[in-house]
Amino acid sequence: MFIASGRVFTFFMLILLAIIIAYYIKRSREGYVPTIRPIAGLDAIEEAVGRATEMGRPVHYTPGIGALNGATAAMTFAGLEILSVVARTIARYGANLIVTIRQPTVLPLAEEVVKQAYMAEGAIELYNPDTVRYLSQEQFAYAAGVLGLLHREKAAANILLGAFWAESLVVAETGNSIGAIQIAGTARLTQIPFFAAACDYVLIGEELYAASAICSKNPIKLGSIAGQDIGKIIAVGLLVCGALLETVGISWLTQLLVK
Amino acid sequence: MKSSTPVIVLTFIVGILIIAEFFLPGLNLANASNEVQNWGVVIAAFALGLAAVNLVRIHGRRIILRRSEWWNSALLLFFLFYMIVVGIIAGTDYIAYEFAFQNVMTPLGATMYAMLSFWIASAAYRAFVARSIEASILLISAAIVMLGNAPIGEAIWARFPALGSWIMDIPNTAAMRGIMIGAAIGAIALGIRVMVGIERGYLGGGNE
Amino acid sequence: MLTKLQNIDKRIIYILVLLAIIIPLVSPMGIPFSINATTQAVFDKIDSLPDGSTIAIGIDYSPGAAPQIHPQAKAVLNHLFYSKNVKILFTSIATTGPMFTNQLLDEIAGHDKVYGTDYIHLGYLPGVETAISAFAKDFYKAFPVDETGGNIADFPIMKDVKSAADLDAMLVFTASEPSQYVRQIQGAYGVPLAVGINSVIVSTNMPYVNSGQMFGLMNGLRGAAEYEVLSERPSEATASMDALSFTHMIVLAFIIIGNISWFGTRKDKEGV
Repeated sequence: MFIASGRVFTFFMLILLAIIIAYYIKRSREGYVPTIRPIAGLDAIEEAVGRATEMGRPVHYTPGIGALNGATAAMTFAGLEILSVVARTIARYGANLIVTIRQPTVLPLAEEVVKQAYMAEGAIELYNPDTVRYLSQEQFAYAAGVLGLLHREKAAANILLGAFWAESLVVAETGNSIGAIQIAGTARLTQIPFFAAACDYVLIGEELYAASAICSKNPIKLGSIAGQDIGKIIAVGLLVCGALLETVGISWLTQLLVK
Repeated sequence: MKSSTPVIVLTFIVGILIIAEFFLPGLNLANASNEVQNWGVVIAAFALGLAAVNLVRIHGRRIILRRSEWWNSALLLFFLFYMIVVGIIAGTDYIAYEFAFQNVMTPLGATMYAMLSFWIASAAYRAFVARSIEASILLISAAIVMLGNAPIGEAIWARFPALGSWIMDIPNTAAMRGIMIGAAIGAIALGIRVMVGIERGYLGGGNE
Repeated sequence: MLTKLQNIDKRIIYILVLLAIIIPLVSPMGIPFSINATTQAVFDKIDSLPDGSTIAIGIDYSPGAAPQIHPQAKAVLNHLFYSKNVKILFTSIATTGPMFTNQLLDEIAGHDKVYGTDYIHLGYLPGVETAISAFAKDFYKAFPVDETGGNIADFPIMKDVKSAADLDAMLVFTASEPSQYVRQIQGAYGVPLAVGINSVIVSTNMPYVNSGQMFGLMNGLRGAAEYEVLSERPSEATASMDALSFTHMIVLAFIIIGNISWFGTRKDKEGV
């Protein structure tokens, strides 16, 4: 068979999803802007930056510790996208930004995102090449680096948006202990309880992906989110139908899925 | 933005290549796909060098300008070069390299991780409160799973492990599957946005 | 009183947690524990591997997660090296993986297995999931040389293996994303996969166990202790189980105190 065995259904689902998303992107180009509910954590960014400016203390930002490939790449991309918005706000306010990085491959991108944001705000003279700091690829060496940095610099705001693992609580509890406003978000479910316990605002799961689109205010990106929601409705439909059919002993749908 | 067009085209071609190789073995794209993925490995290795340059630049300046706690930067750079030089010249199984790894890096990393138990205790005490029905369900489930995982729970009541396993196997699995499916669809949508050049975070930001 | 309970100094909590760890380690009580089905499945599969099978072992944890995962890997390797005759390829996608592999091989020394014939350390491959995919497709291209710098084609163990399709099983010890191996190894090549992970990520990986995409799973330090008991080699993980029990109890106690004080002070506020 031309399509690999066991991947036939997945292949056609991928095509279908691509068509649906492309359709919504096309609609967005034609002027359709889907309504997406506001996210409290995003509204708090401006407040956090304003507070940091008043206090003369920096804002710490991390796009997570995930790489640019694999399942967590989407979270890292979302973190970089929101970094652009945060850096622009900071450039406008003239506050001080510190971005910490764990993955070497993310470093040049984060540097470029911050630089572009300062340029876009016409404040390139405020851009400090030391803003984006690579700490360590070793997870807890990175966490220790952030911990020390938060304590030394007494950051007024701590923004954590991306993929996080066990270091999430180290960073969030430290931010809590120094009294920073904390905005955190990840689609890694295991870390959400830690953020919920220690942070002021939490973006849960897919809110992180939606946040990047809302922040960018790009209708085409918002359109793609509407498209992916249709994909989710299809997945829910398949789940419900599959469960019901299997319960009554009919397994053709299950067999279709593994084809 | 025109300067980014070749990169977007390249991204699209590479994306299609990897997808086609995964789904359509009949096209015999395995070699090309392997080659591209090996490039990815090489790029990741070079990025490590780039990161080292960033470290040297930031901490070198701290040392030269004698900024506060500059000695920590000096220590960092010393160990960075120590591990690089020893690792390259003598190999990673050389005693001086292994000594630093086993007696400095491993205990430090383990200590940081172990400190989580203290932070978990203080965060749980502060935030794990039955403020609502949902929070109460969460609280009781967590307590059962904890008692099921710790041998003392089993000593208190023999059914705790079975009850903990049920929570992990049934309600937990159901919720996790839902989130996984949602996240996977989100990742596919992001992949499509990257491939067609709508998402340009990897080019340093910017919109279509 | 209740207000005081709501604002217990963090240092008191830290000291009590510390005591809950130290006292059972110094004076263990040996509280018995049962074997989890997911650990039993890992043991049964490894125990039933026919002689001459080839398996890959991914050592992907960092020093931070090592206290939970290293004992798991050690327990499994002791079983494999002393009770089984299978060929083992060690790989890693974590920079610290090769060091832990060397450490493990040193710690289990004394077996009769020969390097290059019975086992080989292929080393570290950067690129995370891309690296797993590259390794799975072609061992020779991903790892032209082993950790000692020798051409892998020169080692007898590599004679009949070229890609993940030639593996009889894969075990991964990680605190990161085991699902990457589900996608690139189990899903793509149908290789039976099991993982040894830290406790915090168990909940996100249970769906893979329930769906059969992972044939087993070891849950943190308890998983290691269970495997030690199953392979009749009780060691450091088994000895740490009491400390695990008491720290869990301390956390539960503080959650209860936090709730009592919260409800108590809420009533006070309502009264005002």
